[in-house]
Amino acid sequence: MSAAITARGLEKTYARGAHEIRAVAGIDLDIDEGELCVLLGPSGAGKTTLLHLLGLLDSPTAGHLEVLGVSVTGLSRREATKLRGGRLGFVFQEFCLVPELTARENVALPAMLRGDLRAEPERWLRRVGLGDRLDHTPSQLSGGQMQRVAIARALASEPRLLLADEPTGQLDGETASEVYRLLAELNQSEGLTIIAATHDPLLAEHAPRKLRLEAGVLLPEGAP
Amino acid sequence: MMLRLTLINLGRRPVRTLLTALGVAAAAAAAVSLLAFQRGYQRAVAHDVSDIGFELMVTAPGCPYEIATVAMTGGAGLKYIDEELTETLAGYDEVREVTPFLLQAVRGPGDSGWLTFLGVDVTSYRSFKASLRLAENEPESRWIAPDAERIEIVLGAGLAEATGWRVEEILQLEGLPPLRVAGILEPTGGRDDGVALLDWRRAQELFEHPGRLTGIGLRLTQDPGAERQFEDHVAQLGGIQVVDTDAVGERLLDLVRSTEALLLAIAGVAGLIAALGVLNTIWLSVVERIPEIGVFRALGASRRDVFSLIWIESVLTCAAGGLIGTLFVWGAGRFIEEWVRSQVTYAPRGRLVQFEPAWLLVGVVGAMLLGSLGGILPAWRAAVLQPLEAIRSGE
Repeated sequence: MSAAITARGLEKTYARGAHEIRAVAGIDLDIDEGELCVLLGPSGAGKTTLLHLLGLLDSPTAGHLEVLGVSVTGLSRREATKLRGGRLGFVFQEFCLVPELTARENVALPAMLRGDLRAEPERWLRRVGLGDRLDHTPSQLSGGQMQRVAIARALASEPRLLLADEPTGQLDGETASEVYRLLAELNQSEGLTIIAATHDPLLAEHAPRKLRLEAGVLLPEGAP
Repeated sequence: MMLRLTLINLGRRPVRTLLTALGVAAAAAAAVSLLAFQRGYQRAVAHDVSDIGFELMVTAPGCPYEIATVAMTGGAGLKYIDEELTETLAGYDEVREVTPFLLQAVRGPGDSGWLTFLGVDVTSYRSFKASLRLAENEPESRWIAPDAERIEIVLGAGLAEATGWRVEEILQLEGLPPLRVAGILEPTGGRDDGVALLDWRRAQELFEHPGRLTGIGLRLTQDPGAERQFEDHVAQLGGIQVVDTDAVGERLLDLVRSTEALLLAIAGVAGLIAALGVLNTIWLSVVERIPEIGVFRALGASRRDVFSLIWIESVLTCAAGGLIGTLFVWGAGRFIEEWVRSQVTYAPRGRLVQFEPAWLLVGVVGAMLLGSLGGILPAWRAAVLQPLEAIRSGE
């Protein structure tokens, strides 16, 4: 099985005035394609920063990173944008849908922005169980449904790696479980590699692989 | 989809978008109406000048522009010359044709204002104005008979329409003996539409200016030295003035043309203000949408995609403004014209604000150009946003 993520000594340091904050402190990580991983840890542990690094939204201060077999160290912005748009999918905690667009249009949006006319929003909305909500705007959808639209939007570019940052953070317990089950189902049926950051240990309960972060450091797997 | 996204965003702040578009509309309206006025005024002046029909006019000394203006518009109040000059001038070898005329304003019936009577020698006057014809829809129309028992007049088409006077009608005007309407002219689009023609000798008698004329219209022969020779003759005569109508017309047109740069500068300033307004609006719109733009970028939109999205907003806003402004000028052209006429001393006949369909294109394309310029900075600002920082700015 090929590697989806290979990180060696991955670091991200921020300068805050005279201080330096090591949000990610020398992480070694290997994730194979088709895995479903949950990044756990308290707020400020570095989960979001690590996801941003893996998603090419941010560049590491040190270390080496390969995403889907591409070494992203020294990748130009244009190449990073192309890789992000074509092979990576994002799901945000805040859904980030355009309120005036319908579910169908929101899902088609990223592809259309890239000039790709092959988007099949209906297919992906049906895939996440919203085939009967194609022409609903976000205000006509529940929180869980909005997050499903966001997942369909991420899937519409047919990514090989889906990165979800607190995908259930805005949802109640039951809806959060539904979204998690959907991610797990997509991982199984589509073979999609999924890395989801959450601070909710209940959601991580059934994840095949759990990664724990504390103060930017990845704890050994299996540690209590 | 891009267009829909653009329209959606413009619709998020409808009042702001509308005000910005109206700013552009005002600039477009200013530019287009100035251009339309410039074009219309030049044509109208040129038409009025050619409508005088004389190469040269001999008058009493005075301001040549005032004389030319009165000749173009119809009117009175000028000094007079002796009618004997007609014979004298006609006797010069370099003079091909002459026609005497006497202008007089008469108060019309009721509140109709002043009527302009033009006393002419019908035969020679018609020779100068070959296009002058009696109205075909007035079969009873005929030219005036100078020796008729009752003084006869021929009405310009506009005057006949305004007064409702008909052929063979006997007019009773204050302070004048009864006048018979002998005929009505076909519309000329010029001064003759608004005057009443009568025989010049009867006019002298009627208005109590025996032996006097307002002026004499002239045509010279084509001989190379004709103009010079005529100038010499005029110098010898003294006490008269020769007005070259073409030169006066050119001078009037030069005056109009000289305002072109000023008008363009005004339109340019209006355009600059509108472009700054657009820049401000689109910039604000970008600032408000930084997180959304960040998400677009995170989802794979390139810098160029984001630039296009914002830039199109600017261009569309301006295109709408340009269309509104240009259509306004088109629709309100008549009112603008009335206002202009009320503001200037000499307003030529014909359409002063000459709107042409091409102006629509000029207005819209010009406004789009403004939008293209005004949108560059905000579009660039949006395009260079780092996705992560943009998304974080909304947290």
